[in-house]
Amino acid sequence: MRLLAELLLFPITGPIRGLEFIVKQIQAELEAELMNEDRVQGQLAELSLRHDLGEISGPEYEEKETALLEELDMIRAYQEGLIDEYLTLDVDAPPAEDRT
Amino acid sequence: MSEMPEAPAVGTYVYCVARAAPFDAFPGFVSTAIGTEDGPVRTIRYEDLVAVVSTSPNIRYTLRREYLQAHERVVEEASRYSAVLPVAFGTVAMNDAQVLGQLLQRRFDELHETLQTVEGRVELDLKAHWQREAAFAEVVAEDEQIRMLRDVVANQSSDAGYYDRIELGERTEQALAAKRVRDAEAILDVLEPLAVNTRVNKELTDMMVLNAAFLVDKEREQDFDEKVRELGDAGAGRMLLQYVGPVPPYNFVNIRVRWEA
Repeated sequence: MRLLAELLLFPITGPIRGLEFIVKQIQAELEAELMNEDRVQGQLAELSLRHDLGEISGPEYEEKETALLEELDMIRAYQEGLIDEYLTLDVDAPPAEDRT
Repeated sequence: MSEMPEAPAVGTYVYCVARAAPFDAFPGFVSTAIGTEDGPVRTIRYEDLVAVVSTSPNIRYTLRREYLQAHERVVEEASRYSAVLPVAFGTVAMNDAQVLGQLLQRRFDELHETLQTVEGRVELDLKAHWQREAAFAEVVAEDEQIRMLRDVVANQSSDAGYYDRIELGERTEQALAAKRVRDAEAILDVLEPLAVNTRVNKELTDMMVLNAAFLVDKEREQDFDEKVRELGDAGAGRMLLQYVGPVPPYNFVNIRVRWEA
């Protein structure tokens, strides 16, 4: 969460309205960052390159790819508006946050 | 919770559409079906077309490695016998009749036309990546202003150099963007003439130069390989090429079906 950390560590000197703005900004940025399919696709591409170059082993590659695929699947499900169904149907899904 | 009509627990998973004739005297698929331990991969025929399918639990298939691999293996196996039209991953019909009626019959003409576009052709995928140090070294060497800014920033404390740093970052980014266009075009100039169709996808990382798929006549596949090897040699030390193929034409055909009850 590099982005969030940067925003939080930025000295807040403005009036309260500024703070509110920053908080909203954080939520929007966080959502955009979390729900960005391109970012995950990029990580998958980088991972496959590192594997092809022999920089990471087969098992490590599979483990990281599995995690990224899961993340990508979450994003797709979210975009399809299926998030609730996804979280209740798939027993292998990562632990759900309370979204209500 | 809203009341939903109960969907049947078992449906028909569709991998791809292919020509029927090559499967007439076919001993059967060796690939295992997706999502189930038992039950073979089989075909549903209509006129001179088949859909390659298997009986499957009627679920939303998540992007799990085992599922993706199962899907790919079947399409790949089918493609050894016939031109194939890949169907989108995770496509499950209620039953065989739906596949027959709503895919093979209803879209017969479209499927035929699309098959002709991929017949006798293979997809070859190429990703080109810069090697980070080399790309930055080139940008510095090619741009005098970036060189000057870099020297200024290097001699300043991090506080004093804040705006210079930002300017250096922006200029470097612009220079890389211009370089990407040039490098990508240089590759495409060599390969595109050998392909029947080319699809350039979005670059996925900051060091990716080109992310492209080429549809190539089988007779020209070796020429294409040769050109890619030459490009790889020419770019040695500054660029890495990831070359994959032949693969089924995933980048040129992706059949989506919205089943009607």
